[in-house]
Amino acid sequence: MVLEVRDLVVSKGGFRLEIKYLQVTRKTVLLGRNGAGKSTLLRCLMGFIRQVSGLILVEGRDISQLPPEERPLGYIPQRVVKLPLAPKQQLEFFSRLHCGDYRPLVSKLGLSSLVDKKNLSLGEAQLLTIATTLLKNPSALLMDEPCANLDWPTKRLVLETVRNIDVPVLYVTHDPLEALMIADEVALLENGILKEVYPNNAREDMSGVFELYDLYKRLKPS
Amino acid sequence: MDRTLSAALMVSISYFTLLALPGIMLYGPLPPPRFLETIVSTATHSTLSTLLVIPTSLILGYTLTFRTEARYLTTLILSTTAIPHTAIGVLLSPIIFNLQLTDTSAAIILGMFIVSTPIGVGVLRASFAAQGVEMEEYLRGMGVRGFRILWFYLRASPTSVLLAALLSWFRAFSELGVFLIIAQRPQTVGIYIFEEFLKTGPTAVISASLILLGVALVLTLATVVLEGGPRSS
Repeated sequence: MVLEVRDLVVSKGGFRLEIKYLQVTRKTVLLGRNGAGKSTLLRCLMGFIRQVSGLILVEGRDISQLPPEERPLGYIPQRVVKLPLAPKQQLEFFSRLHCGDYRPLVSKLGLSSLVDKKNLSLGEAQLLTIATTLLKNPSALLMDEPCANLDWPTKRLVLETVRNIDVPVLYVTHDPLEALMIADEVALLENGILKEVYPNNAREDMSGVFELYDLYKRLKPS
Repeated sequence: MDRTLSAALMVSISYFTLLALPGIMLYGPLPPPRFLETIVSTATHSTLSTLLVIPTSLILGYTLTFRTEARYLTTLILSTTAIPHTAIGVLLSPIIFNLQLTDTSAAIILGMFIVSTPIGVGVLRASFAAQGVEMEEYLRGMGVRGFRILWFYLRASPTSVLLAALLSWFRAFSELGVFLIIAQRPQTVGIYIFEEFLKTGPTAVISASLILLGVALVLTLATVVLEGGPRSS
């Protein structure tokens, strides 16, 4: 198992999040309505919020007591991060920090054209962030609604990039369509409780689309 | 320069001109001879104080914005803006007297530092908060630590740092209350005007006050230009 969450309880300003068990080995989409606790879970996995109890295991090792800087996870926040560096400088900085080389990665993701650009659009900045995050060689990637502010063609580009990443991804969204496009499995979160994890059959069988929509419709607002 | 910015500059200039006119018409515009020396001395002390205020404000502004446990300190730091500065002088006096720093440059710089730090912290805190917590969390998640994160925020907000420096400098330059208690010498402009006014009334210091009005005008114009320009934060 790459990323495993066991008996996790998070309490934040009257909100309680409970995850009995969740494992991320492929592309797992965490689907839920606004306020369900999706971002809270990611921020807890990264160590920005402390859990009341429970274990966060990465490749069998409990990381729940480590500071965010030492957790072997990559994190992409909801708002697009535009660092005050040119794309090339940014990639070089993090390559140096993590003793890697950005060129093969950027080329593999098909993002070489971004490297020498001066001003990036929101979508391009998000793609650069994904590439930059992968320079850390994370065991798993946590993505908090990375397409929230993007138009449809850009969203597709980002989703295709996410699909092509070799690293397991825990992808948060409230959009069932996004979930269908990238998920190997869909975890449904409702009012802070992880209901169930379903395999995403939609990519092979269209009936899966209706199944997922039906599941989504049943989620209650927080 | 866009029309709004031009209009703001015009309004600022007109306001200060109107404020200065009655004084010029009554007492004339020439400054007393020792006044310029006092300005230079005050400006030098203000610059030294600002060089201490900016790094302090960067660290405090960052901590107060992103560390929940440190937020309670905000009230403590900003409280100096709510206390009469003569009271701050009185509170500082035991330290200053014991260290035999009364009427020294060190006392002036310390006084300036205490009154202008809240300005620097306030400006930088607002700038960091406007940039959001995402950059900080992203950088920490990427393994970036401590002062390196601060370096990113510094790069992201050069205008705000400049604005914080400018406002802190002018706040330090205009201080009087603290110096009345702990450092009347070397003479700063506030002390100079206060003493001259007590000796001879407004005639001797009106031109000095007009010059300070000019200095304030420079501050206003610089602030308008900085705030009206392209924002990097």
